[in-house]
Amino acid sequence: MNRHIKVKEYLDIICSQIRYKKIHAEICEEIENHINDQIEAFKAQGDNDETATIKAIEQMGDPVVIGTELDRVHRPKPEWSIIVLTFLLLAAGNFLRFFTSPQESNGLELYYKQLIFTAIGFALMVLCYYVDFTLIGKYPKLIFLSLFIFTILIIVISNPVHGRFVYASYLLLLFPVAFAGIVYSMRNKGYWGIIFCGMCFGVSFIISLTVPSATSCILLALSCLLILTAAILKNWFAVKKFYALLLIYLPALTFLSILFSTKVYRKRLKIALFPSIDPTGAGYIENIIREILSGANFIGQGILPKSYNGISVSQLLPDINSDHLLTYTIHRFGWIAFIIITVLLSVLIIRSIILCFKQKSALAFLVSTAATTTIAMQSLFYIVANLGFQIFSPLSLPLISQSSSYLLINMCLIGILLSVFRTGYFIKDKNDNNRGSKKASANSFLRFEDGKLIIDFNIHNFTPQ
Amino acid sequence: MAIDKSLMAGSTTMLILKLLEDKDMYGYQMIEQLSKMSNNAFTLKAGTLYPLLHSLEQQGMVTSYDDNADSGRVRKYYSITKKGRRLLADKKAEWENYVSAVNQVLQGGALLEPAY
Repeated sequence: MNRHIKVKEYLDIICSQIRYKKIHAEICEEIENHINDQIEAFKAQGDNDETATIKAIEQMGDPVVIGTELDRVHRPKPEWSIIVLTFLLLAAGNFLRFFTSPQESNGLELYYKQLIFTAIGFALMVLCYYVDFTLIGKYPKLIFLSLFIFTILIIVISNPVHGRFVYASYLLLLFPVAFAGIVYSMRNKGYWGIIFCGMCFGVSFIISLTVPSATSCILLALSCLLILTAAILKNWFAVKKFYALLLIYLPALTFLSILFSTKVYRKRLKIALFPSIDPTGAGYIENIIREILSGANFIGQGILPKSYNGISVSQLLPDINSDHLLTYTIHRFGWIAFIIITVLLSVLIIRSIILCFKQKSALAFLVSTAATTTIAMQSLFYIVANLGFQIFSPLSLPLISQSSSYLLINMCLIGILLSVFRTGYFIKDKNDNNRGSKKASANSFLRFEDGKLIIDFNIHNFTPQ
Repeated sequence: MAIDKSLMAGSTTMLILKLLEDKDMYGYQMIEQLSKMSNNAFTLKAGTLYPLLHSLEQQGMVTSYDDNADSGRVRKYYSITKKGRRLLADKKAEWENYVSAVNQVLQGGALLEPAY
């Protein structure tokens, strides 16, 4: 149906009041449908085209008032719960490191460095918040490729610390989000789409092996698996869900079972569960952690076993500022501090998960799921390790433990989350037969989809401007 | 007979939720249905309806989805959620209280007991 000039004017006035531009098309479509229904009704009563249109528009009400009302409803809003929790966690981290830093060599220096990086991280968060996350959906391959090349470059030019390219290992945490963009771009691409996603995961996995970082490897694998699973369950690839799940879980489970059946990992698993079988070797740290925790109080400083007479925890436990901050915290302040920290983190993560599921657009859902998973898994690995089960060595306790680089990455992830939660709720992916896929299908008169030959006369593809 | 707008303002949310209680509808359908059900007493303007629907959706009282209507046009349908049903029940109770109070006053008020 051609749009009447009066209808166009009417819609334009409404949209001119709505500051959030991404919602314009959707609102226009809904209102225009309404006007068209009304026109049909008036025509059925005997009015001609022109009269029916004018009457229908009059019936709608003042466009400025509607536009203003809709603007109020659809104005992007910051997600305060996440912002407040972020600041609480940052404050908690600073408070705890205020105690641990003086006990570490160059700890104070790192403490002040982290303060400066908190400010930089905050700026980064604000930047990610204002930069529209839909960019990830617009240029998914470019973003993934840039991240890939940048990480490779870092590996090439940086010097490994203790045999590990640490700077590259930080960047690994951005791969799940970039991967979410790739999954998004593979909509309706069938099994090949899934395989392409698998290949992109493969290259990021190889990088994590090169770094090498076992924890990042697992984090990456689990996040990507989760994102793919979510996409398949939402029928994103337009294939049979069962076969699609088989396609990703079969290789994933095979790989994991091979990994855990190797001697190295079997031993690591055994040590993680029962460190006392090798208390001076591989199970050394876990053993110490467990002994420290066994003497911890609910509130207040714990006591060390008698055998450590005269030795302080900071002498006993390495990295109390970074890798083992939580263990130290439990010893120094009691389990109550552990409960507070884990509750704060859990609330942040659960709140994010709830908001992820509220997202209507697949892009918003996938990106926020990726960012949330990355934060959640870091927290989980860290907490488990600090309780004396070091299956995977800890990366960082998001926003809390000492590491300026992880802090920046996590602030970035939170910025992306905030950007999604700020606007993503309104953004919608469209079905194939209307404007969402217009670009893809507008030019193709003949298409082959799901075993059907589709001849498209392009009559549905009008886009409100 | 049409009803004064200000009288309707407070109860529109309740009426919209009531309409969606039985089946999913799109905006135009809701206005038509409301008008029919009230013997043309309620003429809800589209300009009131859509901002209200969108904010109800944001609050999680209703959800929306696109579907092809009979005419082949894609329509945005609204569907009431559990939370929406609870709100409807609350609003109904509040409304009944209000109506009975107004009626009582209009009928000369409850017999006032002496205050001592």
